[in-house]
Amino acid sequence: MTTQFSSHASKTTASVAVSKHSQIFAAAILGLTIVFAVGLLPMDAVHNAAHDTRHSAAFPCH
Amino acid sequence: MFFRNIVFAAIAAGILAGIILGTLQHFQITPIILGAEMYEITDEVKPQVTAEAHDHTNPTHHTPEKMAEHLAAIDAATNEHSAQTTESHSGGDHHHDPEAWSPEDGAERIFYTYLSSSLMAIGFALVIISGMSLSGKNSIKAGALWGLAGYISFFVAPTLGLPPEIPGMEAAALEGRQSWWLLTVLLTTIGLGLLAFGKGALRWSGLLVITIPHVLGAPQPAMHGFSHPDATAVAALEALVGQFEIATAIVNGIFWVCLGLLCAVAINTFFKLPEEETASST
Repeated sequence: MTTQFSSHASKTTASVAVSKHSQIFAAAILGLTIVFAVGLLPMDAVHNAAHDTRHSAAFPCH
Repeated sequence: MFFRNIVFAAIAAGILAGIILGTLQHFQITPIILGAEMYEITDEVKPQVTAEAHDHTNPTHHTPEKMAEHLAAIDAATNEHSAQTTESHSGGDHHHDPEAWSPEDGAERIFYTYLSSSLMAIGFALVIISGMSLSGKNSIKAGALWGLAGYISFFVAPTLGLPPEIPGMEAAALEGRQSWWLLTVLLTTIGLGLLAFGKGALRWSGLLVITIPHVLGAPQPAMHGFSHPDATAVAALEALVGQFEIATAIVNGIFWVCLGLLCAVAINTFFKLPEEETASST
């Protein structure tokens, strides 16, 4: 019983660790998506709204 | 849930850093952009200041009286121009649909600058907090270093090849610049990552990775500077570019260090890093 419990526990810890890494990865991808939307998206309305920010952050603009 | 913690922390840090960036931008950078937009011209509308009297080889040409005349003429021309093109801020090779929505100058434009600054800061904060979570270090010093790394990756390295531009400046095709910009940001980030976390020889290969985009070289325009027909306007724009490069370098530096520090504070406030949790549970 004890061994079963501990093996179950270690599996859970392992899957939690994997899940945490994938969540960290997902958060980073979300962040990059936002940065690229604000900084590089060619849509006119987005460009015009973020125009001054793009210029001051030295993103390629115009 | 860990993802949610990162997002909350990033939103808090990003909004604060975005307000700092938006304010610095409003007072230090936007006035320069607006100043440059005064000189923006479209192909159809040329200012009437390049008339016959405009002879730069003549020594009496740039007397104070003549300069006043020039500036008055440019003001008149640009006012006429801006009246015709208030709906679009297109100039040079910049072909945007003039019918497209764009914020009105004044409060609306300021609001969107704050909004886009905050969104961008939240995006950067998500990346920094993810990185700090992965490395397991959340001290204030680590935050400042992450901020500095962001400044180098997203500002210093790209501007070495593509200096910050003000509206109306000649530049190579947008797609080429965006690709080089992306490559530079990516390789600088990887290079700094190797320098910070690599072991042995791998660590120093980071320096090599950082130099790759600069060896390849950024796409350059056929001509540098401004194609404005009036020399006085070009001189004014060149002075603005000088101010703009200094202002953006300082403002972005302050922004990134503040963002890094705020990310460290947000991690310590909103959640504990996984390594700490495992350390405390064992």
